[in-house]
Amino acid sequence: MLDHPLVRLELRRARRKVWWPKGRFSALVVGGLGAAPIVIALMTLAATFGCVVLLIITDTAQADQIASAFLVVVSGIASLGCLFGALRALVEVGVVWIAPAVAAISIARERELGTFDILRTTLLSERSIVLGKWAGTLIWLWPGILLLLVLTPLQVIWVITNNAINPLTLFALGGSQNEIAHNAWLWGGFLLIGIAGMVKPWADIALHTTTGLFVSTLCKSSGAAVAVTYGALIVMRGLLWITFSSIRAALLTIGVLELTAMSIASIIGEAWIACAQVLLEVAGAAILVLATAEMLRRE
Amino acid sequence: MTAIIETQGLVKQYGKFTALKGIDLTVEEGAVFGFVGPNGAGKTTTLRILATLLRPTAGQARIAGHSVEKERRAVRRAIGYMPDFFGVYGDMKVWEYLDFFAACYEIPKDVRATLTKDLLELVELSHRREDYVDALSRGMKQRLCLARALAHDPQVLILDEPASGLDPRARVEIRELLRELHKMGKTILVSSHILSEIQEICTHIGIIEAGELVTSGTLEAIREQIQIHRVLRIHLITRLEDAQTWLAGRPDVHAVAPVTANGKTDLQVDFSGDDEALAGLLAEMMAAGFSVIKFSEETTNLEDLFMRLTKGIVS
Ligand SMILES: Nc1ncnc2c1ncn2[C@@H]1O[C@H](COP(=O)(O)OP(=O)(O)OP(=O)(O)O)[C@@H](O)[C@H]1O
Ligand SMILES: [Mg+2]
Repeated sequence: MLDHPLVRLELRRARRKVWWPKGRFSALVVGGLGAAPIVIALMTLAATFGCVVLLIITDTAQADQIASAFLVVVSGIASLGCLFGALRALVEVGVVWIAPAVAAISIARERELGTFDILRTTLLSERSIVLGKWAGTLIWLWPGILLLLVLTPLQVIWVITNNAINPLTLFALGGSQNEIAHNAWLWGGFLLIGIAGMVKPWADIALHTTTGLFVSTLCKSSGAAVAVTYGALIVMRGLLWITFSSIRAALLTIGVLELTAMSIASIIGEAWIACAQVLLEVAGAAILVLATAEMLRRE
Repeated sequence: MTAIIETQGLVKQYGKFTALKGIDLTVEEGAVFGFVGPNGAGKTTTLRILATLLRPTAGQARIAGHSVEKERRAVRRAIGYMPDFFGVYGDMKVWEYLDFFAACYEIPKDVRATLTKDLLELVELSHRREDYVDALSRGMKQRLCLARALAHDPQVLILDEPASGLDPRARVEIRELLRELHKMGKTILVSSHILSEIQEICTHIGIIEAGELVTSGTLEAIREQIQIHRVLRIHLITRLEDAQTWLAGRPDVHAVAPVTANGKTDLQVDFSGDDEALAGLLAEMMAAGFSVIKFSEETTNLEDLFMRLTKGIVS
């Protein structure tokens, strides 16, 4: 994919038009800043599992002291993580809602300039053009994408390290078999929700950019393409929200989901809903890519 | 000679409007085919169908044996297409532009560097290699686009008015380039609404008007068509009626009629024959004692044939 001519074209352009780390020093700075959240995440993980191991191998008399020392360390790091979490949320909103405009312009702009016909007479297949344009869109958003890439893993950290429900911690502290099993289920549910949350921005970006591309092939001017794309997205978002809200409402009424209590069924239910939405968005994006290519072919 | 481009009953409708009314076009391999017609005749529509950009409403078109509808990839491999109006990626350097399209034609990376160099040499843009495309003049952009269309060494070139909007010098340069490509063995289908501009480089001509192919064939055949019906204007001092009867009695004269313009009456003669026969006619008239003071031909070149064939059919 990196060798796709359209991707290399956009890379070249983006490098000329938007800021790009040039030289070894700026690359180091960007790399360092990007690595910071990952380092924090790894430190949290190491602290957690290090303590768990410590708890297992030392005798129970000292367990309480070790556990509280560990909590201090982890919560310290976690508050740092919180900062990054807020940053991530900001970046996410930005990328998710700027990306469709960039995508909507891509093909319509080529039409406006009169370059698209030439592109279509080359050996690039319609699907290849759509995928290339899609990747090209992401290239223009590279700072946001990069930030998201390094910040999203933090989201899962708190689940893995959550002391109260972490079955390993409970096992180390000498919890009963039933308690450990119960926590394992809860923990699994939270992990799934965490992973879904981590993938969600990417699913959003995929859905929004492919919507932009689809509209872009329909519109003659890039201005119209951007406007129609946002219109379509607002409708689409509304429909998704209504669908999943009603599913949750229905499950709440029949008592599968609970708002306050942390029953296993409730957490697992929430996890499935989160995953379902992500899967639906990804499937929608894939269908839109195919539909866009098919429309170009039919033209 | 085998046909490399072939269309059969090509029809294209835009809504209710029929832009092409059944075009049967044959272009032989190695030919330079001039596709001529007035504005709105359907040249661009035909060429876009051949370039796989537009689907015909009915009829068939094949290039190098491949159907433009069903075997688009093979057709695209065989053709280099240059649209009438086109844009360029102005923010790329000249060599990058060519390199990009070479990549789109799946030419391996290590070949592309030499290819780009050769193409730039061919269109005489080597000295602008590192410039941005935006900085090129219109004529240079046109040549760059032509170079781009040659990136994959296609058998057939489909060029839609490649010289439109260019100054006389740039037109000559394009013409020279086409001549060179013809020598390289490419088949060239080139459209224009000015016949005189391309008749020098064409081996074949097709004239299209209002979606119909009026005539097509080799340059010689078209010229002969002109010789079959040459329109002469003869002015005599006296004996106009005598001359009319005398001319009407000849087998190579199809019709004679007096026409009056600016108070003077000429004879308009529909004559068939080559230039020698024409000179003979004048000599015989003199010998017969007619006082001819003006003897001229109305239609002397393809341009006039074009005007005659297409006059007033398209608004
Ligand atoms: N997309 C379209 N929708 C509707 N009508 C069209 C479309 N494209 C072309 N036409 C009509 O089809 C006819 C043929 O157009 P075409 O562009 O093929 O002519 P042309 O011979 O290339 O003319 P020109 O010398 O001006 O380039 C014209 O009457 C034009 O108005
Ligand atoms: Mg045209």
